[in-house]
Amino acid sequence: MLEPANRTPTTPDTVRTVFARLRERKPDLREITDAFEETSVTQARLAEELPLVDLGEWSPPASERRCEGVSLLADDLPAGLPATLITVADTLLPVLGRSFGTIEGELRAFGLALAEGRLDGAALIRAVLDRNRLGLAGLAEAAGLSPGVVAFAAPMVLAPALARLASDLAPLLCGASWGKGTCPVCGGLPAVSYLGKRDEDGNEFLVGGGGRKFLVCSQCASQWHLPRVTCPVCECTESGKLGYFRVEGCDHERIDYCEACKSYLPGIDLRAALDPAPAAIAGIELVHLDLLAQERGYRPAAELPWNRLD
Amino acid sequence: MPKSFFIDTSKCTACRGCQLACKEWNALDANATKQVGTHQNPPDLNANNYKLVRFNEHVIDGKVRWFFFPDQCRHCLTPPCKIVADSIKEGAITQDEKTGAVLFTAETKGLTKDDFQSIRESCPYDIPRRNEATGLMAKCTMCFERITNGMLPACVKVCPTGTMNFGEREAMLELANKRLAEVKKTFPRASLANPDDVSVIFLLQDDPKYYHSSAVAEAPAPLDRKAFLAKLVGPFGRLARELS
Amino acid sequence: MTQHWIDIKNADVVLIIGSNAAEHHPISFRWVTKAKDNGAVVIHVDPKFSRTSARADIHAHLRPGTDIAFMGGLIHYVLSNKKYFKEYVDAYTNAAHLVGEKYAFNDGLFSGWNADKRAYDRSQWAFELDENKQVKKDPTYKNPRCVINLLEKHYERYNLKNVATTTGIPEKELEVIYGHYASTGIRDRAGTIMYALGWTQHTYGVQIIRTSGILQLLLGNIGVAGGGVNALRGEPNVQGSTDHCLLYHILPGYNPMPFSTQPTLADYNKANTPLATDPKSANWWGNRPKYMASMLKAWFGDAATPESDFGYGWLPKADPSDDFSYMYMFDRAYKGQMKGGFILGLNPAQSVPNSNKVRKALDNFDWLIMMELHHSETTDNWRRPGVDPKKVKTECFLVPSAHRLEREGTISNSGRWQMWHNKAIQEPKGVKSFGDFHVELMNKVIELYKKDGGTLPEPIVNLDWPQKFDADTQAKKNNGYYTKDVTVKDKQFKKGQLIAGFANLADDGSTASANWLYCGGYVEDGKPLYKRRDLTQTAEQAAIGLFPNFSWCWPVNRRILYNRAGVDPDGNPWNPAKMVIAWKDGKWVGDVPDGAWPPMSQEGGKNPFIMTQSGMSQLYGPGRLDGPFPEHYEPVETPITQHPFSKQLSSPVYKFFDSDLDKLAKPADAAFPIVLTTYSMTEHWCGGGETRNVPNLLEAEPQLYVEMSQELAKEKGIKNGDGVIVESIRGRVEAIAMVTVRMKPLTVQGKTVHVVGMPFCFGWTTKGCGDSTNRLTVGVGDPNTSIPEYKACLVNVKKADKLTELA
Ligand code: SF4
Ligand code: SF4
Ligand SMILES: [Zn+2]
Ligand SMILES: [Zn+2]
Repeated sequence: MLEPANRTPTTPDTVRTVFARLRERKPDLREITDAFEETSVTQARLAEELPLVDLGEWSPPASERRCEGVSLLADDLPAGLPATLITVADTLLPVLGRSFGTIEGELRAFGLALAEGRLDGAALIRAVLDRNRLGLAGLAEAAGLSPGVVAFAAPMVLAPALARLASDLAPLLCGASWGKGTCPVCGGLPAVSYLGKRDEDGNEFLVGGGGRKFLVCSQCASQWHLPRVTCPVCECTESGKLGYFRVEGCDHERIDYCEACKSYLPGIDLRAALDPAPAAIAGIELVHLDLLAQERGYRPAAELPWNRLD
Repeated sequence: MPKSFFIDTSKCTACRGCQLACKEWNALDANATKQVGTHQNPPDLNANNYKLVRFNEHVIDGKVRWFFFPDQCRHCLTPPCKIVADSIKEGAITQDEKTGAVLFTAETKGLTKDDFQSIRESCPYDIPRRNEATGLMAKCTMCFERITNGMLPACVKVCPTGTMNFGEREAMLELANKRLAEVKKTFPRASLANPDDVSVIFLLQDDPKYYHSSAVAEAPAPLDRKAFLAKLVGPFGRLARELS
Repeated sequence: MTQHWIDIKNADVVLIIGSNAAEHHPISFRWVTKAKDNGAVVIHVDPKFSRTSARADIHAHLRPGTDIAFMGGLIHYVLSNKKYFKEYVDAYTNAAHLVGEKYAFNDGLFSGWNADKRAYDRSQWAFELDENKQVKKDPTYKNPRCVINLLEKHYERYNLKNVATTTGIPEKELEVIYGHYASTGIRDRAGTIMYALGWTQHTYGVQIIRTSGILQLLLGNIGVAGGGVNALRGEPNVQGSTDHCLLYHILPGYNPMPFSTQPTLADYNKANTPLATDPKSANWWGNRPKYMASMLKAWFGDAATPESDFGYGWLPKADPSDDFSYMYMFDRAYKGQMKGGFILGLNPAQSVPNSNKVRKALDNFDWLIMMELHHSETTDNWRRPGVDPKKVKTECFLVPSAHRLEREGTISNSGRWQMWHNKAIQEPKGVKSFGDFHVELMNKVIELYKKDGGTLPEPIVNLDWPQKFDADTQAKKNNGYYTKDVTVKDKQFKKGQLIAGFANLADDGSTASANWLYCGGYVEDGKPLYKRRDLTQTAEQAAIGLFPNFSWCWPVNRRILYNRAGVDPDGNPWNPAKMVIAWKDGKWVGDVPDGAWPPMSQEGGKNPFIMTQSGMSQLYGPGRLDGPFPEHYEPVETPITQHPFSKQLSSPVYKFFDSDLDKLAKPADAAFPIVLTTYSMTEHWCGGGETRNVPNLLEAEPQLYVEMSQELAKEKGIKNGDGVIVESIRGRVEAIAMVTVRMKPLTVQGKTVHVVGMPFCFGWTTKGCGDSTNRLTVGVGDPNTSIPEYKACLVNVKKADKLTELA
């Protein structure tokens, strides 16, 4: 596996810095900044502090299957993952409730249902990973919860748990040949892409062009390499179908779009970026581009809490 | 947080990517130049070239050595140019608190040729230039627009060798010292040029005199800072006389 | 290149000679510095100290045109000090082959010399064959006519003293360099040789390159990682254009041009299909008839049938003595023998040697059609300085050409990798790519021939020609497809199906392939292999940076040529740590081997050099026009009068012209005592026609200069930055003196020889920047390739009183 492109760690401090400068550079986005700052900081803290996820009997899918594009979590889930999820929910849901006052009660109910086992953690995780909206709604209704609130909150609660798990499982990923638009760990869709820095290989002459494309998972924040001329959503490689645009004067932020499936993905060019935001929340700095892309009729590759602008 | 450049000349190949990228980003016109017996062209910094790769060759210990020096404003921590300018016209030269960038503003337009001369003379690195047509003073801006929008300076972005680096001052100093230790193994005379006084830290493989007459400031040692500043009394003195 | 860019990092010694790699092939140099990081010694041998020298461990100033002396000295050093890789030489070279009795070498001339014809009778250099037409050998090397013994004898004269007095490199420096390079003649060390136009542009360029072949074979550096003979090729796509025959003397895929003496395809095939001279020889060129038939099928489609001799009769045929290379073309034009023509992708009034003659020659055309991005010295030749446009009769058409960023297609990089590039921007309206231009034009011509008829219409009306140019379709045609349903060894192939590799090409018209070399690169519709960007590789492949799944390279994705010589006869790599291929459990692993046969020692094994008749590499090579062993000759214009160690001063067979403008300075001409060499520049591309129109690049390199040593400047009373006149017997050029420690006077035969160097990118259409340096250079060429001797001629330099070209 290639070294991840963006090595800015996700810590409460680095996340705070991003929000601080977001306020300064893009004051128009205040609503979004206010809504997500505390949640993001807490997520970062949790991802750092969570104990090891108990793997139990879990083993990864056979390596041939992985070469064919089956993610690590496609078949089975580690036994301890639902427990980790509950730990996260305990801390995160109250924070989320403070930012989103209107649904505070429903968030609390969600937490309770999880803790009391009325909502099966494993089934919930599976539904999120499989992007099974109906299944997720069914689980919520069965537990007497609002499907909308669960759909909104479940991925956010799952994120720190998956991030923790992903860093534990990273050694299992090997070879540069993943070649998929979805995450090799959890199967998630990308939230944002990076064009990698010049190769820092200690060579004293040419440092090399860099520009290798990495995707960041919207669920577990893993980073993986995908050839540049490939749509992460439909894997189209036709040059005429793929394009990108930027805001004039901003070399380092872009939207890559695909005419074949009408999807887009915001991206950051690390060769030009001064102080890249940590991968897990980088997308939040590009919301102005989300807006432009959606105005032009493209859909985000992954739905994120802050890119539902309609 | 203060920013700094680290310019590792031991890696520079004089491709001049930085020189041209600077012109492109700042939309500076091309000068009509002449060949004057060197690859260094234009021959000097000017209002249309904030960045200039200087070429110098020497035979040292019987070996041909070729030195490249991508010259630019050092964004001094205590910029003498600003001290002088402040005494003439407040606001002509400013220093951004956060980044440390020293900026020539539109106000420089109001400065006379002589004012400009005093400011230029105050600069230990002979950087300030003046656009005679507009009266504006000109030099490297640290790509202020770019860095405040999260982008690297244009010269750093384009450099293919890792010579040009930019980031937090602390990180740059750390990198500079690390590289210095490395380079010293082969070039024991290697040094950093005035690292405590400037935001643009050059690593030189050999005696600064081989690179450029203003590669380092003449009396810049930190201990001498007072003496160094005292030198500036010259222009102040002249100004005082004029005003009285 | 026998290798590819990344492989340079595997070298233990890097010899850069005839190239300024850091400035002109910077990507190659990235891998040179990687090799250096791993402990390799980097040596640069060049008349000028450049940015390459600055980063090399050793730099030596070499007198222009003395490369064979330098390399011959290295061969002598390796042989006389027994530094060669004996197992390799024994197993894979023709060291043991016996040369016929008629071969001889006397005082600079090989046997078979015919002074009247100015040519050799090459049959006198032949190998000795037995009754079965197989080459005779003596593996004990006792027979004095063994190649290795003749080689040793030939290079005996190339001792340090002779080489030093010829090249100007002091003996001590030579010894250090030779010592480093010869250290690679063992199993686990490899040396690479990187060259470019500094080697090819001489009247013996081919023979210079042969020296590197011989040396690398002696040291066992061919077929291994970090070795090879590496011609650096860059953005002008020289690799692709030679593969696809943008030259007159070959057809696509290095098939020779048909001669008038070969009226039928059978005659052609007979003349060009060699017979194996060793039982273990694969004799790959034995497949020539299949490649030819498939190419003709691609060109003439359904009209190419056995009955029509596949249209072979429609191909133009040259007389064996004809030369249609560009110097000859402009000579014909100068003599008024040409009426009109097309000039595309070239600025001859600027870049062809003796350009004063070329400029006059262009005046003789009635019409010229040119395609360019900008006005150039060629497009605007009719209004050049000193000429009255009213008196120039040529009717000129200037077609605006698309920039390379405005078109798509494939390009072949130096490592033979075929790479697809997309169109980056839409071309402006009315602008055409070369492909569009040719296809549309030819369709018009076809239409006219169909309508009006004409002399010999068949080659035109029978063409299998597209309606519109499409790079992808053409790429498929290059790869090739079946022309009908066929069954081969129980396998069925459908008409139109793409062909998997050139081994499947046939000579019966059932396959079409416009270039057999590229067969195998596009085998599945819509999925050309050259679009691959897959970085997967095995651990062994990763150890040498092979990346077999990234793009595709000819032949059959073999990244390192002659790799069967990189293993011992049992199939074990000479250097297991950097293996290219290895025979494991009954099959080859690593790179694609040069043929799937088992290792040489086994039943059915083949010799590794499959393109030669014997399957052995040729230390002795009787195929070239100027001799079976490279011999040092002086450039045609030389500062000395006596060959340092023979009686033959310059090549006896170099090409030259006899017009009134083709004057040559005599050896050591007192009027022209200084050696001039010419070269490219980083800031301007080739002749500068494109980059001089980029203001910021012109700002950085605005005017023509001449680099000279401080000693010469002093002698001539010239100061740095002075305007000077550089003069050869053919022309006069104004330049600015750049006095530099990077140029150095050389001591040759006890005398001081000064060398000056000039770029060739400045021309009069860019006001005040100077004009073509090639007004000085000499119109003589290599006997094998006709490549001109840009790299050495004689001039004088004096301070200018007045400048007009640089005003
Ligand atoms: S280098 Fe000169 S111009 Fe730049 S900040 Fe310092 S004094 Fe001012
Ligand atoms: S871009 Fe980098 S390598 Fe090129 S001249 Fe500037 S500093 Fe030197
Ligand atoms: Zn994931
Ligand atoms: Zn798509």
